[in-house]
Amino acid sequence: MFRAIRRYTRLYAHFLSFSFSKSFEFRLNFWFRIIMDVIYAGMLVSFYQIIYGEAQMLGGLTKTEALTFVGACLVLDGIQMTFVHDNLDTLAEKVKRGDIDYYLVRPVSPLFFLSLKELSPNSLINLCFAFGIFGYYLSELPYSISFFQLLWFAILIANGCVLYYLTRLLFILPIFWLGLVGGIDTLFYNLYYVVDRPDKVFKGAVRLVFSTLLPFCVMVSFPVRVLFEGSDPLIIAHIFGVTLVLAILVRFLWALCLRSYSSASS
Amino acid sequence: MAALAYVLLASIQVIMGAGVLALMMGIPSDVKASLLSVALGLLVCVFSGYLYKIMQALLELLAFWVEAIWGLQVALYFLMNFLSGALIPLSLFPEQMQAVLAWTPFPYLIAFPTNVILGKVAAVEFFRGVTLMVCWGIALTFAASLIWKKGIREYSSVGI
Repeated sequence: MFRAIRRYTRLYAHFLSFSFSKSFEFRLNFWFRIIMDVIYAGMLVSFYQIIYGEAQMLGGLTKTEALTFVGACLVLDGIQMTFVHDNLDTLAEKVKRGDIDYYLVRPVSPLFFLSLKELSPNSLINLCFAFGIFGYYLSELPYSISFFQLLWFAILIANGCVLYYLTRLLFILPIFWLGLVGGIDTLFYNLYYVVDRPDKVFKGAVRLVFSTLLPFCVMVSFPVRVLFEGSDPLIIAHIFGVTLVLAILVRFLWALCLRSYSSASS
Repeated sequence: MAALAYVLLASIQVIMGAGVLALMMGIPSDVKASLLSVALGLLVCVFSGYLYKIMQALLELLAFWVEAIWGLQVALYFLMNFLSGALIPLSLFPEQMQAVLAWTPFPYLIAFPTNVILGKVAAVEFFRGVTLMVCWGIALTFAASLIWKKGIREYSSVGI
């Protein structure tokens, strides 16, 4: 067990070193991606500033709470953009071209290799920026947050990143059967806007779907509720339950995908 | 040609989507859409589609000089979504910002065509909007053609 962890850690260190050299080769794109994330952050903050110009509360959140929520969304976005985005965005193309062979013959988990090989150092800078926004609005809250609430929040946001990863995979894996996932990809990115909204703005069946089958609300909005309202065991059980079910489903689908995969050389 | 095909396909999707939503949720009582407003709105959508594509093309032409422009493309997409009224109605924006935005191409991508379809645009406003769209279309096409010519002159391919 420990040997495997050490082996994977060493491999990931190589991924890091390779990604840093690669990103400095494309210097302009390095800055473009920072601009992109700054615009995204500015857009989200402005969105809520404008909304709260017209309303006092939205989805049960005050303006400062909503902007703290935005900070949390940016943290999730920063983490996924840094660690998995570039890998998952090219996964469909690799399947289509039959390039998965290269990963299947390696003596490590192909999913680990495919999901974490590329790291985006420029997004790491934006992640620091996101933590700054989150910390600033957290300090502006009119009440104090206990250490345990903050700890639970950190754990649940980390879980939110895992949920993002699993949900993203759920939208990519059909490539193994369909050959093209352009439309499903667009659907994912359009649905991703749900992450940036407090879960209580959704009602009825829509809310149920975004809290279970497509758990976009569970990624950030639920952890933020734990941060503001305290660690409700029901919410925490719901978050971990959804993650576990999705992890089992994705694992099962991945195994099915590999079985139906025909390589470029076969 | 590909841009026009994209606009046509997207328009069909939008019409189908709007039809399904109208069937599911009904048409709100304050909507004053008429056959004329819908026809004019669809015409404006074609112009909007062209503006959308030419703005993207302008960025993509930077590929003659820059290795990767994905970050800029996504940044433009965010800007277009936010400043066009796709995420939040422009009428909620501060008045000064609305006044500045009215001179940019962004509101003519979503907010203007939507208001035309809903019959919320007076004749004078409609002609002003369409004139601005045409002017932006010409200016951006001219800029794109200049960049294209300059880019082609500097382009060196591998293997030739």
